[in-house]
Amino acid sequence: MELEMEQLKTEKIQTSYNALMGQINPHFLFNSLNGLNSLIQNDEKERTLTYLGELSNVFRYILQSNNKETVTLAEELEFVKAYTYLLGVRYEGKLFFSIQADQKLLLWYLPILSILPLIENAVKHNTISKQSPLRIDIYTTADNELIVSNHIQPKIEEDSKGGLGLKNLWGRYRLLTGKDIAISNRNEYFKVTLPLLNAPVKK
Amino acid sequence: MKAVIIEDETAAVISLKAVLGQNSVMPVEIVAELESINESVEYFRSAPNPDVIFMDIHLADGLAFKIFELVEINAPVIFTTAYDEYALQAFQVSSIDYLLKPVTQTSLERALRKLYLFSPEERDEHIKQTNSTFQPNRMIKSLLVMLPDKFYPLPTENILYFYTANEKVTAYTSDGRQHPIDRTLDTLSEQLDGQQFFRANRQFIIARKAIKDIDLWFGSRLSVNLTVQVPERIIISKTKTPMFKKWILAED
Repeated sequence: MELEMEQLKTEKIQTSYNALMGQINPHFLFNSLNGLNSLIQNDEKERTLTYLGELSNVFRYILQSNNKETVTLAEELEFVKAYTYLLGVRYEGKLFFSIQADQKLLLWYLPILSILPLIENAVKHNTISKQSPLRIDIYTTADNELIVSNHIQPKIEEDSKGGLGLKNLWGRYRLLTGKDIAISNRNEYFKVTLPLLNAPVKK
Repeated sequence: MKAVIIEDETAAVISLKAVLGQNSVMPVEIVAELESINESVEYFRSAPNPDVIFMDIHLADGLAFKIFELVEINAPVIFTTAYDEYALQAFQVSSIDYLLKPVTQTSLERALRKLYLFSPEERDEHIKQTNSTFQPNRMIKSLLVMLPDKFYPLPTENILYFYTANEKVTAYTSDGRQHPIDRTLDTLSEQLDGQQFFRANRQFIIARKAIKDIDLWFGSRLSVNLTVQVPERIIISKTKTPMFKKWILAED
């Protein structure tokens, strides 16, 4: 048991490091700039400014994440909206998001940056094209959970092995909240369930 | 000059088209915009080759290198990438240039100028090099089978299919024998002749000559029947079905 806790602590340090180095990964950084470039090329002043604002919000949130353990669902979803705005520009017309949260649950808590790796996974492992657009659903349930789900659209060949992001999230969730995330892969849908907490975790 | 753009991110297509339109080296007409391996292979099987192809590496359905394995590309390729350390190294060898995204006017014009100055021989050489870099020319003709007390060579042409279960890979030959293979199906599918063998799913690599017929299966999938008994039904997933059909038709 003690050994397990130690291991989880190490994983925790690893994940907060990853939060910085992994989340603002070079791919994300440069692809985000590419999105900005396309808006400028298209002379879309309003959208360029919105994009730049959301890009700043995303970076700020990620950079501040190592000082925080849990945040309200409202804060996390605000971040998710900024992040998905950027993705929406990059994959315009082929990547869609639906976010629906019960008003009461917006003030519940979850570990910071829990949703991001799930979105990243969905984008990384599925075919996203005009012919096969991808929709990612994020919604709360009556059981006080948050679900992130997408239709499975496998690539012809995987770019690289996955699974680490999910494993890290599972470890971090367990360490911080004592709860397990649930992963299901059924009826062509990939679904991850995150239990929400009615109080923040004290450091 | 006619150009084809292969790129899956909408924003990157817009950016590239904009700099292409603004370049002062030569007028560029975009004849096609493709976003996946499937779409690209389909396109190049029938459409005439353009004067240049701009190719992103991470496509909607996998890595762009796969295209070269499935179809002959008869045009100079300029790779575009946002950030790919390993890829950049590979391309310095054969590609005219790779462009970093967002693509700047200067870097694009440099690449176009280089292309413009190519002699026909240089152009052909470049195309040949690019194709050979990504085509699996390291195809193996024979596997070494290791048993506890002996080992022997197994020519791949005798193999009807490979099957994996419980982390063990077995090759089945036309004489009804089974041979333990100490390579994974992932490795084998890279090393075997892509004309003769197809990675049907996680469990099977099948040889073209072993195929008896194909049933339409529910869920837009296919079920492949071989000329011999197999341990379990061979199902081709919906995503792999277009690939499989192309492979089946490609016999020369």
